[in-house]
Amino acid sequence: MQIRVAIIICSLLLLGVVAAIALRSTKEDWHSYQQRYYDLAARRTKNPAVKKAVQSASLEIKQDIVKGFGKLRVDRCRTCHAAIDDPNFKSDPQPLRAHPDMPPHPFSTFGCTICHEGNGRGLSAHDAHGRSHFWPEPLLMEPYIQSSCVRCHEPPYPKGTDHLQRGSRLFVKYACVGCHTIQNFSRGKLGAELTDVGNRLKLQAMHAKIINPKAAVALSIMPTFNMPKQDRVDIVVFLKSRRGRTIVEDPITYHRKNKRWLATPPPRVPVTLAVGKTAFERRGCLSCHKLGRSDGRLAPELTWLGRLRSARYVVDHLRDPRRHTPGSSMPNFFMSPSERSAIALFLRNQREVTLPQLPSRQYSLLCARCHGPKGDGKGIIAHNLVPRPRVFTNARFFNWLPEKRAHDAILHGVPGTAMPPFEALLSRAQAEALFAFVRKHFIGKARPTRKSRRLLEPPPFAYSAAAASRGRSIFLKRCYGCHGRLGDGRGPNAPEMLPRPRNLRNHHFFSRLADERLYESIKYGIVGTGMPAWDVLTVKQRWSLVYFVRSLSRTGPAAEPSKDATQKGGQ
Amino acid sequence: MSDTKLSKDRPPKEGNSRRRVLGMIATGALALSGSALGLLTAVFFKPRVTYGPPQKFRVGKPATFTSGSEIAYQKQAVLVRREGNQFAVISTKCTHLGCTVNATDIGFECPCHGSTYDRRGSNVSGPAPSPLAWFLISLAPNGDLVVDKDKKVPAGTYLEIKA
Repeated sequence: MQIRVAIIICSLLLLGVVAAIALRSTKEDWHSYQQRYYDLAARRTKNPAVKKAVQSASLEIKQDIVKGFGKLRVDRCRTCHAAIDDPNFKSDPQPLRAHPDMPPHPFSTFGCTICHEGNGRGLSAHDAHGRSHFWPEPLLMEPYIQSSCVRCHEPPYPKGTDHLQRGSRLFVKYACVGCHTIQNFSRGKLGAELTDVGNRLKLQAMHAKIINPKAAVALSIMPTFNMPKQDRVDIVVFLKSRRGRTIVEDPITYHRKNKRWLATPPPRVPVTLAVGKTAFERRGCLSCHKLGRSDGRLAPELTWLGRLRSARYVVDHLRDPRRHTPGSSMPNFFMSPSERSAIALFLRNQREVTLPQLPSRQYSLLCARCHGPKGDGKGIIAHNLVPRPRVFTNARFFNWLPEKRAHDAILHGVPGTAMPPFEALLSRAQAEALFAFVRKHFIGKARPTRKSRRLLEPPPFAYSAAAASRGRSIFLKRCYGCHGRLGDGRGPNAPEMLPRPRNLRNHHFFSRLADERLYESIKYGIVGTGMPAWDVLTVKQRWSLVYFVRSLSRTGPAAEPSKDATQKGGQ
Repeated sequence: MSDTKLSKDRPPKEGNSRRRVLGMIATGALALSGSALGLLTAVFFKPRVTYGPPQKFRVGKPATFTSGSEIAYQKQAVLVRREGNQFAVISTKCTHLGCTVNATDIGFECPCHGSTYDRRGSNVSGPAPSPLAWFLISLAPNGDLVVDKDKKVPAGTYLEIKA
C-alpha cells in the first residue's frame, strides 16, 4: 500500500515540477517588458494604424546582427529595450527609455554592444549586462560610456565627452604620463604600459589599482595619489578608452603614426622664468612635489631645493632621474634641454625662505617631511625615498656616528640620495645646533665616549681589475644575501632590514667616500644597521671587496675617464 | 499468525476500486509530465532566432515614399510600393530560380530566363511557376514602416495609412 502512495506522491510532484518549468519557460522577463511597451505605445500613439500594428504585434526576440567591427556582434538588447527608437518614451524609466539622438549611428548598423559593452546575446538583465564575474565586458554606464567614442573617434574627442576629456588632462596633471606608456600619448617606462588597458581591465580593477596600487602588486612603486573621487572617475573613463588601435585605423598607419610621434623631439623653449613656471605646472610636478602651499605629499619639497642644489644638478636630474640618483622614484619626463634649464631657473628663483630661529622650528620646516615629525624616519614621503631617511631614534647608530659626519651630512648633503646640502640655508653653527636638537629630542642619550679604533691596515696591493674580480667572488659568497647579486642593495634579506642595505652601484654616494672608510665599514661593520663586522676575512680579502665596490660604483680608482652622464649607465 | 496478517492485509472489495483510481492518477500524472517534457524538448529544439539576415526590418517613415513610387531593396530582395496612401511589399525574388527581378512599366521581368510578372506579381510568361509573394507591411510604434518577410499576405493587400 505504502509503495503505491509513494508512487502517486512522486508522480504528482514530478507533474508539479514539469508544470513549473513549462510555466517559467513561457514567462521570461523580456516578455513582460515588451508587453508593457506595446501596451504603453498603443495608449500613447495618436495614429490608428500604429495602434492597430502595435496591438497585433507578437512578443519576439529582436536582434541586430552587426558585422564590420572586428567580430560578429549579435545584439538582442532591443528585446527588452524595445523603446530605444520611440520618441514617445524620452523620459521613461529603463528598460523602456528612448536612446538619446545619435544621428549618424543607426542601431541596425552599429548595434548596442559596440559602445555599451555587456553580453549582446543575453536575454536576462544579469546575462545581458555582463554582471557575471567571469564576463570580461560588463555594461558601461554614464560616465564610463564616454570611453567608447574613442573606439573610432580620435582626438579631438567628440562633443559630450567631458569626463573623457577631463580624464585625459588629469592623466597629464597627475604626472601619470611620467611612468606609463600609452602609444601616441606618453612614453613613461616605470609603470605598466596602458595602451590597451581598456581591453584588459574592468572598471572596478582600475579603481582598485588607483586607490591602492600595492594591493594587487606588492612590489609596485606606484604612489597612492591623493586625488578626489571625481578625478579618479574621470581618469578611469580615460583609461577605459585606451584600447590600442582604433577600429577605423589600419595597423600600418597606426604604426607609422606612433613612430613619427616617438621621433618628434620635445619642443625647444626659451629659458625664461615664465616659461619655467608654465613648464613646471604643465608637467605635473606638483602632483608629487611640494612648492609653496601646493603639496602632492609624495616627493621632496621644492620651495627651497632650487637654492640648495646647483642648476647643473637639477638639469642632470631632470634628464634621467633614475640614472642620476639610483633608486629615485621620479620618472623621466623626456624634456628638452631648454625646458630642463627653464625649470631649474624657475626653482632657483623661488621666494626667499625665512629661516626660523628655534632649531625645533627649523627641524619641522626642513627635516620633518622626510625624517618624520617624531624623528622616527616616517615622514609623509619617506616610503617613496630610496635610500630611506635616517631614523634618528636609532640611538646605536647615531652614538657610533662621529658628530662631524652628521654635521657634514646636513651641510653638504648625502650625494646620490634625497638629502640635499643645506649649506645655502644654514651656517655651520646652525647645523650643529640643529643636530644637537635632534640628539636631545630623538636620539635621547648623550653621546658616550667612543673607543678609538686600531689603525687600519694599509692596502697590500693597488686597485686592479683582477683584484676587483677576486672581490666579486668573495662578495657572491658573503654579501649577496643583503646587497644582492648585482650589488644594488636588493638581496633576498633586504626587505626585512631597516635601514636597507646600501646600493653599491650608487656612483654619487661612493664617489665621496675614501677607500679607508669603505675598509673600516667592512672590517668593523656599521653599528645600528644590519652590516656586521667582517673580521673573519683577511686584510687582502677586505681590500679586494673595497676594490670590487669601487668597480661596481665606478668611483675612486675605478672611475671612468669620461664624466659624461650619458655613458655612466652603460646598460 | 500469518493467517491473521493475511486477512488484515487483504483489501476489502471497495479497496479494489480505490487502488484502481490511485493507479489511474499516478499513470495520468506520469503520462502528463512525460508528454509535457517531450513538448518542452521539442520547443527547445526549435530555434527562437536565427543568425541569418533579419526577416523583419524597417524601411523608414511613410513620408519618405512618394505616391506611385516603387523602391527596390536589393539586399532584402523586396520592393516597397506606394499608391496614394496605400503601401505594399512585393518580393523581387523570381519564383523560377531565385534571380532578382526588375520592376518594369507593366510589372516585373526576370533578367535570367525572361519570366515576366504583372503589377500584382502574377506570373504571365516564361518559366516562372508561381506568382511573386506579397509580404506583410505594418507600422512600428515610432511610425516606421516594418516589413516582415516571414508573413505572406494575399496579393493585392495594401496597408492604408492616413497622412
